[in-house]
Amino acid sequence: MKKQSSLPLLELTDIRKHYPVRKGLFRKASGIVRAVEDVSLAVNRGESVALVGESGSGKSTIARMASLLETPTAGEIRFDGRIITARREKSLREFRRQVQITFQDPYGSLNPRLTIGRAIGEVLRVHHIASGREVTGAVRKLLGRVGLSEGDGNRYPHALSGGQRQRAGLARALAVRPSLVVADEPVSALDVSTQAQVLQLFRELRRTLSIAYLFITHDLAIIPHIADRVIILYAGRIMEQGPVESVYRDPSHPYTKALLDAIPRLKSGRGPSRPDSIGGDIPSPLNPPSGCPFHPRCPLADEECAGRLPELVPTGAGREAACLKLHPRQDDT
Amino acid sequence: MKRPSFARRFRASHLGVAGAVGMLILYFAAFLAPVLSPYPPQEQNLQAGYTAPGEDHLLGTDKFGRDILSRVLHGSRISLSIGFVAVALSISLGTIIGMLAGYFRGWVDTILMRTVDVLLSFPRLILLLAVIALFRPSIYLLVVMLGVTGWMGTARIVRGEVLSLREREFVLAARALGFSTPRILFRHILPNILAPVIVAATLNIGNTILLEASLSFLGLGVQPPAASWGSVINDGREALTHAWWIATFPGLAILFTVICFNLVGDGLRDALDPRLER
Repeated sequence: MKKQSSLPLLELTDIRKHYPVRKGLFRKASGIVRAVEDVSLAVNRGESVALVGESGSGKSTIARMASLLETPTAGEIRFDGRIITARREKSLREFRRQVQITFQDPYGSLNPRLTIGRAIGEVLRVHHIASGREVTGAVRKLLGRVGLSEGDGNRYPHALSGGQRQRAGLARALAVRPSLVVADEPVSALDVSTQAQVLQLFRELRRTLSIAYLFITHDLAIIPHIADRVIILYAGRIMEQGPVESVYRDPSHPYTKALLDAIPRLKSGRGPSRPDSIGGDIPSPLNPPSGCPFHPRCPLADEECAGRLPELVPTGAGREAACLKLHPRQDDT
Repeated sequence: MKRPSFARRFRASHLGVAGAVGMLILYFAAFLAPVLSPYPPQEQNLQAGYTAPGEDHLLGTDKFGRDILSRVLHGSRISLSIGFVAVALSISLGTIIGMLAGYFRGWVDTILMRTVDVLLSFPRLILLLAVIALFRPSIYLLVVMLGVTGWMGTARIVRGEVLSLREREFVLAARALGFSTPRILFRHILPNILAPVIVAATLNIGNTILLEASLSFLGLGVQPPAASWGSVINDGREALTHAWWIATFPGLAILFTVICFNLVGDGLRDALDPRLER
């Protein structure tokens, strides 16, 4: 991974998202859903970062905060070095052009009343990228870029397949020439053969347009195809992060190990029998466990884990992990 | 997978089609009123007062010998246009207010929706009577008041639709693309809530015509000598025992109109209901 600029393109610092749970006639807050807790991450220019976690781990909330569709309860978001949290929508114009988001649901992410071509053309006009007669040509170019035909531009979303819709959503995002695309589970609603094609498209676009990705997924098997770095999320907190290859070869956090063991493999043949997948469910964000959030399901957990929250500490080679068992009592010395 | 076209789904509702046919008949009657009327609606003929339905006067005459058929035909123009214009006004108001409440939520929503609650707690007819009694009755005042007191139901429907639409991913994508709020509201949200709005409008027209007739009957709507269905019924009120035809035929016209609009509204609801999609 070579850095073109020392400044990360997008940097989230200790962001947190709590949702109040309101009940009763006067909507009194009766509890707090802690969706995201003190997450810090950075995406460099042209880098592809995968954010992985189970459902309910807060990954989509992070995606929406990273694209400022939701405001963090606490923490700071910087884009190109400038703080963009707590800014008014009007002064976000440049950010809105630079950062785009694509969604999981290929049915919901396109306006059912607009043809694909009109939806893309609207973006070009609003952002003064093309006007008048140029629009048609620019739309055709964008459609071609994502592997759709000119004729697809005249069709409504309901007339397209899931993969085509995902491509159309991507074309619309690319219309503003973003430097970062936040992709929220872009392939998990697609069937496997389409998944491969769409992932291939993401890779190609990155190569030709040098776009950075924040790739949200729950599918560990696709990450090596798309990302340089992986961040493992559990119950709204980062458990481990580092370069994909090194994390996959030698996971340090017990949660990462369990996740990687659960990937189905064709080639494993008669290798050593893998441990069964982790039991239990992700803890309720309404009532998170004490100490390490993973301890109720962790094979290595002891009393210490229930009492103390592990911090994310460097473990060498650009990697970090949050587990007390990795660096026992490192703060006592 | 592909659902049948809207027209086909509407045709599947026979009552809706019957209502639409009735509506067409009404439009023709209103449009061709000057041609179809055997007499000018205001023409008095005191010798022919209280003529029973018969050869000369198909539906009879009133106290002044005015032809009831001509008055009902001309009255349909007034009643239908008041209904349409007032509903256009109330639906636009309701849609805009509902969209603002649903999209911005928070205190905007609270203020607007509590206002709706308060307005809905007044009986509409009494409210109209009170306001119109303060001014000189006129058709314009009537239309405006019918519009201003009729938007609350639409606002509630629209608000509910917008609340769910604003979380849809294409609206989020529009926000991420930096689209302005008016653009998101009118270009991306509005076209997607039109179906329930159209249904509400159709059902409201029948109601509004009924209300206009009530007000005209009470003497606070369309003023004499102009003929609206309500005012013709009022003319026939005192003669109900010996000249039943004066009040009966405009009453039947109202009945027919309201039934037609309600049937069409129900048919449209069945054809447009998103829950029946896919």
